[in-house]
Amino acid sequence: MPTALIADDEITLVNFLKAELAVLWPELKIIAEAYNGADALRLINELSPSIAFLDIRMPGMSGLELASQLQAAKVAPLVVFVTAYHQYAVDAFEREAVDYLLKPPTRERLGRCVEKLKRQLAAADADGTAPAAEVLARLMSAMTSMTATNQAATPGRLDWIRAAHGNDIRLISIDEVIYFEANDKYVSVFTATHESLIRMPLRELLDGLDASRFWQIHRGTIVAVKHIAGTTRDFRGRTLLKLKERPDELLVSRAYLHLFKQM
Amino acid sequence: MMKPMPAEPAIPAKPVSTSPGKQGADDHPLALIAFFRRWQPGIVRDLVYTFILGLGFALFFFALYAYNLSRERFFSQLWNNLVIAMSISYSIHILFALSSFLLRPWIENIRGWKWVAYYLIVPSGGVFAGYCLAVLLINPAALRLDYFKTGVILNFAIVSVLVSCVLVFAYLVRERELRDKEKIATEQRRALESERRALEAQLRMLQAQMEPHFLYNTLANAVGLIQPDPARARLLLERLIDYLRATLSASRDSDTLLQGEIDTISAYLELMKLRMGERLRYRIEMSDQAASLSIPPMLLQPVVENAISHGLEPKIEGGEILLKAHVEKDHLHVVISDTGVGFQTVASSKPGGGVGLANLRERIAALYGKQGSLSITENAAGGVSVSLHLPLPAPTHT
Repeated sequence: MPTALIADDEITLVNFLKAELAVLWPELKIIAEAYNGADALRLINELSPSIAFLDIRMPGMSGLELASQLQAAKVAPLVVFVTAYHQYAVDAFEREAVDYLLKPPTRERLGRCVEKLKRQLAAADADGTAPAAEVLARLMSAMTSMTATNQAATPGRLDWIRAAHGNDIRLISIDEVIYFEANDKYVSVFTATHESLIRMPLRELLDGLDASRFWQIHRGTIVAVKHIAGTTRDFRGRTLLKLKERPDELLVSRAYLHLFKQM
Repeated sequence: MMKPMPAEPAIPAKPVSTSPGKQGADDHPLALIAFFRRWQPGIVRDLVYTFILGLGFALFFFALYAYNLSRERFFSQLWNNLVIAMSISYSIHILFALSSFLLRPWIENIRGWKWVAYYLIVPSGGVFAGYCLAVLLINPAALRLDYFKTGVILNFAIVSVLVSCVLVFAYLVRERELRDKEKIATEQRRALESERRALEAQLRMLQAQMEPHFLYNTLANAVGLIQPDPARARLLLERLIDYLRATLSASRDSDTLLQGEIDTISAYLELMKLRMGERLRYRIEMSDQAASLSIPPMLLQPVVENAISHGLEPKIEGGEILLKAHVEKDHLHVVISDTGVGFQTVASSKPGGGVGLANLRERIAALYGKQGSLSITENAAGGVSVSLHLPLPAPTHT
């Protein structure tokens, strides 16, 4: 007898799917319900259901992460994704074996899914294949590329900086930063209105920053290019950097003077 | 015989435009006058301009004492003045041309007192040399007559330096004027820019406010509830309608009362509570004074949505959202804190993480400038607090 697990963080949707499946496929036995990804993985490993209905967005672990973990396992259930995410993934997926349901699935659409599952189960009984790994990989890449374009920032780059500000840990967007300055033990980060301490050494910071947006101008100073107003020279002939939104003047050391030759 | 002039023909120094970033863009002093800026700069133009200047000064100084000249002295004096003015003008012209040709890299970088010194020395030298030249041209016998005695030379020199000082001063004033103009232009550009950014942020806000997944998920819930729990399904749909009505009308208003915004947020949170059940708890604390303030619509809503989708939804056991709004002296202080997963996992948990907050920050900057601020802190117990300080608007009592 076929068995199934339903995983969704919203209990209403679990119940709904259960009720619908009871009508469409009375022989299917729902042996487990999970409300987060981690539970789902545990239950699948324990109970090895033949089918898993997975929500894509779940706390703990996303449906996609879960499915890729299942690919590695020996006995994987047939995976059906049930999600509110639409077209981008459907394109990658629709013509393939493993099904993909959009919330809320209509009874008609769920019926087709059930037919498909039945056929797959019969075939799997014959040769024991798991859901196509290639299909999953395509879906995963569709998801990640969408995530990446929405995030605008390149992975590995710092977008936010955690800085101690009194007793608080402030989150400072990298766009707000005017400059970083290393003192004896700490690095200070300056925005238009605040000065805060961060725990990351300057060297490490430099690796995480976009070199076209942040310039090192001194052994202990990194400045955001867009906040530079210009340079000036003092009576000793040293080059000082003026900032647009702070009165501070930053010393440019000889080694980095070349950055300002064109200015 | 030459008699000392009452005043030297004042030939302005040939200045170099010193507006920042345009070093070395030589210009003729005559170009200080708007009328003469029509001609394209060039060697011929400059030579002609120097001639015009020389002529002008010769006539000017001649006019000063022409009234009591006898008829026979009239033309010789005019001629003398012309010769003196021209030889001084062209001496300065040549000296500047020469020094800028020989010393160009150095001149382009001078600032401060060196700059002043340069523009004192060159025209002073020019006046001095031109005057000596003129004396010799008018009366070649002057050389033999031992005309250039120390006293006379000193006289020349002092007058030359004085004239140059006046010129440099005039030029500095003119330069400051230009710089102020530039400053104003920059300011205007900045104002336009921030206006544009405000519009852009507005647009993004409108685009961002209704996430399709949110709508589909909510409707899926409603469908799921119709049979087993029609009363709850009805409640869910009613809250959804409240929320849709509030957000759609908010996108048309430019201002709303904080109370209205909080009603929208309550409808949203109520709806999310129906969906998430035990996993979501929330509290709203708002003073009456704060409730009657007007604020731009959809300013707080995205923060609450963020707290749910980035903070609580990814957390298995869920958590609490606390919204506090009150008036502090001269500003409205709103804090939205959650007990969710905090910031480190945000970026990967959902597409668009962090962008919403960046938009909000931009919008606040565009609306309030430096008077408004947004800060994001991590709570000691986990989760994130977003606090907004907004300047007080005129209170409305409608």
